[in-house]
Amino acid sequence: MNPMRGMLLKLSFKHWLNDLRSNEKRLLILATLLAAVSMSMISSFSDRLSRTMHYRASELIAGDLTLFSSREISPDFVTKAKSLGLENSQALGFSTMAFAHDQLQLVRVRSVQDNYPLKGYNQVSQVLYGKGELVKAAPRQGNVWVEERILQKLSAKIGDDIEIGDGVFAIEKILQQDADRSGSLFSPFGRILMNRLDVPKTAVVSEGSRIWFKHYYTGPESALKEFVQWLEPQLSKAEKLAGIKDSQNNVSDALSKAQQYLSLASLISVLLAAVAIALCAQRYSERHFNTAALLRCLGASSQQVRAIFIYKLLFTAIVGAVCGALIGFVLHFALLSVVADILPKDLMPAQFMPVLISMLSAAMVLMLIALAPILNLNKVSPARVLRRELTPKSVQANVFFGLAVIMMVALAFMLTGSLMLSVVFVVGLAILLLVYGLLSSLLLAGLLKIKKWLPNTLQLGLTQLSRHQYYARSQIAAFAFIFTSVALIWIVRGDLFENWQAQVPEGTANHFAINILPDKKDEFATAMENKGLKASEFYPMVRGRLTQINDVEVSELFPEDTGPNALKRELNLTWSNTLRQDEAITEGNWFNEAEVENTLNEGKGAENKGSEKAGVEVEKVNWISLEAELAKQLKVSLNDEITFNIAGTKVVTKVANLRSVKWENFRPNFYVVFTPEVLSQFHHTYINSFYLPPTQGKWLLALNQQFKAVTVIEIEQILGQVREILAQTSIAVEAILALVLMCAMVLMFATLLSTLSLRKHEAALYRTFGASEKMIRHRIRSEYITLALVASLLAMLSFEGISLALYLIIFKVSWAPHLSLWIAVPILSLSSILFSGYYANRDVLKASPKQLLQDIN
Amino acid sequence: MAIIDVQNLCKSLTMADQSLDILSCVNLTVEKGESLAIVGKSGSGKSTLLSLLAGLDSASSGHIFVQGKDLSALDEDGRAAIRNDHVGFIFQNFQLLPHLSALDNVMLPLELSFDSEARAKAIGWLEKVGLGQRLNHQPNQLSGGEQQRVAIARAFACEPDILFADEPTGNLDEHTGQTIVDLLFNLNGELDITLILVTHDDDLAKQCQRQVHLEDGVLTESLSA
Repeated sequence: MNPMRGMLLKLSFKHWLNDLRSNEKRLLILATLLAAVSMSMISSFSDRLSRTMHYRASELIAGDLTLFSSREISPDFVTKAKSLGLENSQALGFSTMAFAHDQLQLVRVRSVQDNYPLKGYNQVSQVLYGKGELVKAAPRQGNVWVEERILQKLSAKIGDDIEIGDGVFAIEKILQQDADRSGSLFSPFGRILMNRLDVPKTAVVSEGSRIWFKHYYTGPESALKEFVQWLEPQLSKAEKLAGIKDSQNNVSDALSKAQQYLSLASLISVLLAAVAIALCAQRYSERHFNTAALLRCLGASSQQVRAIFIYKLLFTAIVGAVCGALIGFVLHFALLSVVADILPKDLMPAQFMPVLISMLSAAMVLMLIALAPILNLNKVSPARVLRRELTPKSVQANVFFGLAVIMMVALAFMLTGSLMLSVVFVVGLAILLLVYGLLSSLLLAGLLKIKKWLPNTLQLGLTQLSRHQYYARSQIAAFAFIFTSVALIWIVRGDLFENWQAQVPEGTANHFAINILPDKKDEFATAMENKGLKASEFYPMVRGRLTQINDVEVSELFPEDTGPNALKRELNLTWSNTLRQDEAITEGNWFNEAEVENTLNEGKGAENKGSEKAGVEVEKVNWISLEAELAKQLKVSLNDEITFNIAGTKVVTKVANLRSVKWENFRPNFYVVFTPEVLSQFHHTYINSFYLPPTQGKWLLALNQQFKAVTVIEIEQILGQVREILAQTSIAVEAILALVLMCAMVLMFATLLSTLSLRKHEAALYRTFGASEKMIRHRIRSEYITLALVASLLAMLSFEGISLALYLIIFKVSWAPHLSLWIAVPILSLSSILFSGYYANRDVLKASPKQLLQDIN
Repeated sequence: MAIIDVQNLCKSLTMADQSLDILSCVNLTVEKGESLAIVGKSGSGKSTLLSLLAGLDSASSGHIFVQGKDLSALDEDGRAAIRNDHVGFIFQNFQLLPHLSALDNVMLPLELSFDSEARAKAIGWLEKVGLGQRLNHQPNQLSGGEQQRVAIARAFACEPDILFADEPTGNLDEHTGQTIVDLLFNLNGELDITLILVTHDDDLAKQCQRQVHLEDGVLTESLSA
C-alpha cells in the first residue's frame, strides 16, 4: 500500500475510534448493525426453514424430484442421476382387479423398490382404523400393504391372501397413507403397495397394458439442479418432471404467505434502519462541518478530507455490517433453539451465503445513503473556522438518492423475490415520505388555525412546533413512517395468524366419506347427528371423463399425454344451484336462468349440433362452472364447448363461468360444477367431510358395518402437518416483529437527535433568562405530545390506505378498518416519543446554561 | 523579500441583492519574523482580512503573495498546500477536535503532511508549552488556558513561516491570557516566525512590532509605541 495512503488510513481509523463517543456515530453504527442483523437473521432463518420445509414438503411426493411417464423411462436418466450423486427409486403402477374371499375389487397398484420412499414415510397400521405408524420402508417380496377401503370391500384382514393378477400375496399391513400423496384422494379405487420385484408374478403387465412409470430422485440441491438442467431438454412430451413446488398441497399457500410476510417484515426493518442511517448521516455530517473546516485550515487537501471521511464511513460500514451479520447469524441459532421442539429434527444445515449477502447489502445501504451528506464535508469552506455561519452547498444528492433507491429495490427483490412488490414498496415509500412531508405541513397549518380551541398543552406544543416548522415537518413525517410500519407489521401478522387458524381451525374435517348412495344419504346424516359430529353438506358426485373441447378430441389437442392430469382420469363432477361461500367467480356469471334463456335463443345451432353428434337428446344448453386454473391449462374460455363422457353418454356443455377454488380448505372441492338438471339423471353418490376426534377412530368400524358401500378416508395426518408448519412460521413472524420494533426505536432516537442542538440552544437561552427546569420540561413535553398525536393521525390514515392495498392486491384477503389501532397507535406513539424524548433530552434538562452553550459550540 | 505582500485587495459580499464592501483596496507588506497586529472594531473586516491572508478565503479582486506565490491564482487545494507548508493558526475558541486527545490534536497537521515523526514532534511541543503531563487529556478535561497551549503547540509543530492568531486571548481571563501571550511572543522570537494577530485588545496589539487599523474595510497603519 502507498505509505501516504497507509498514514491517511491510520489517521482516519484513529479519528473513527474517537468519533465513537458521539451519539450520531453510535446510532449510525447501530442502524447499520440492525439492518445487517435483520437481514442476516431473517435470511439465515428463513433460508434454513424454507429449505427444511422444502424438504418436508418433498416428503409428500416421496422425493425431491419425480419423473412420471406413461412409457418406460430411459435408464440413461438413472445413470446420469447416479453419476451426480443422486439417489433414485423407481415405481411402476397399474390398475387391476384384486380378489379375496370370493370378492373382486378394482385397485390401483404401486409397485416400489426397497429404497422407497426416498423422502417421507408410509403410514401403516395393523388394525382397521387403528393408530398409524410411520415407516420408511416398502413391502417385502411376497407381501402387500393394502388400503382400508379395499379390505372393507373384500372383507379381508391382515394375514389373508389377496390375488392380484396371477400372483398371490400376503396382506402384511394396512396402508393408511402412501408416502407419495400424488393421485386423487377421492379415487373410488383403493391403493395397494407392492414390491417392484413382484410385478412379474402378477402377469398383469404386458405389451399394451395401461401402466405408468415413476422415478423418484433425491440428493444435494446443486446436483438436483444440474440434473434438472441436463434432463429437461431430453424429456418427451409424455414425461412429466415435478419438484415439490409443482405439487399442489395445502402447505404451499400458507408457506408462501409466511415467506412473503417474513420478507416484508425484514424489508421494513431494513427500510427503517435505512431512514435512521440517512438521518444520522445528515446530523453526523452537520456536526463535522467544523472538523472538516479545521482539517482544510490545517492544510488538508480536498482529496484528503474526502478520503478521511470516506474511510471513516467504510469503517462504520464494516463494523456495523460485519458485526450485524454475524450477530444475526448467531441469533438465528437462538431463534431456532427457542422453537426447536416444533422444528423438524433433520433441520437443514446453516449456510454462509445469506450472511455474506446481508453483510454486503447492509454496508452498501450505509455507503449509498450516507455518502451524499458525508461528501458535503468536502465542500466546507476553511473560512468556517472563523465564520461559523458558512455552511457548504449541498452536493448533488440526487444521484446518490437514485442509487440508494435502486439498491433498496434490489435488496427488496432479494428478500421478497418479487420485482413488482419490491418496486411498489420502495418507490411507494419514497413517495410516502414526500406525501408525509406535505401532509404534515397541511396538518400543522390546519391545527394552528384552530389552536385556540385546543387544550393548553396542545396549544403550547403547536407554538413550539411552528417555531421550527422544517424540523417539525421532518419529525412528523419520520414518526408517521415509523408508526405506519409498526402498525402494518403488527396487523398483517395478526391477520395472517387468523387466516391460518381459519384455514385449519380446531375441528377441521379430518375425514371424508365417499360413495354415499342417494337412498342412504339421510340415514348417513342421522348417524352423524347421533354421534354428535359436525359434518359438511353432502355434495353429489358423478364421475365423467372430459373428452372434447370445442368438438376437438383432447387427445388431438394434447397429444402424447401432454395435457393436465385432469384429462388422464375421470373427474368428480357435481352440481349445484348456488355458488359456495368459499369460492369466487373470476370470469362470467353464476348460472342464471335469464342468461340460459338468451343463449337458448341464439344457440339453437349448438343444440342441434350437440344432438346430431352425440345422438343424445339435449334439450337445452348444459351450463358448467369450471375451475379457473384448469380452464387456463386447457386454454378454455367462457362459452367454449366442453364434452364429457358420463357413463357412456356424451354430454355437451358450455362454460358459463370460471371459478377460483380454495383447495386448501379441507372440504370436497370440484373442478366442474353442473346445473342440477343435467347430472341428477345419472347414477350418482354423495361425498361429505366430518370431524371425528382422533381418539374415536373405532367408531368408523361401526359406521362401516352400517354403510358397507361408504368409504371413509382419514386426513388427520395431513392436517397435523399443516398445523405444525403454521406453528413454526408463527414463531418466526414474532421474532421479526421484535426486530422491526428495535429498528423503529433506533430511528426514533435518530429523529429526536436531529433536533437536539436546536433544543439545547433554546434551553440554554431559556435557562439563562431564568426559566426553571420544570418549565423547560413542560415545553418539551407539550411539543412531544403534539408531535406524537399529529404523527399518529398521519400514520393511521396512511396505514389504512396501505393495508387496504396490501390485503387486496398482495395477500388477497378481505379488508376492514382497524379500529383498535386508532386507539393503540396514539398510545404507543405518545409513550414511545415521550420516553425516547426524555432520554435524548436528559442533558438538556440537567445541564447548566454554560454547559449547554459549550456543547453547542 | 516580504513574506506577505498584499496588493489592492478587495472583498465584497452580496447580501439581500445588495453588494457589501468588506475590504476596500487593502495594501500591506509583512516581512519575515515581523509581528503584526490587526486591530479594529467588531465588523470592521479583521477576520475577513485574516482569512484572506491565510488563504482560507478568496478575494473579490487584488493579489496576495505569500512566500512569493499569488494566492489569488491558486485554487482551494493549492491554497491548502500553502497553508500546510507555511502557515499555522491559533483561534479564539481554540478549535481543538473534541474527541481527540491533546497529543492527537497536535499530531493532526503533521499527519496531514505525512510526517513520520509526528508523534515525537507533537510530544516535544506539548512539553515545550508545559503540557507534557497532559498528553492524553481531552479538550474538555483541560482548562481554557491549557486548551490554548495545545492550540499553540499544534500551530508551532509544523514549524510554519507565518502564524495567524485570531483573538488568541479572547476566551481567557487576564492572567491566563498574559501567560499565553508571553508564550506566543517567546516562540515567535525564538523561531523567527512571522506573527499576524487579530485583536481588539490594545494592550496585546501594542506588544506587536506593527499595528494596522481596520475601519469600514479601510486599512490604516501606525507604528507600535
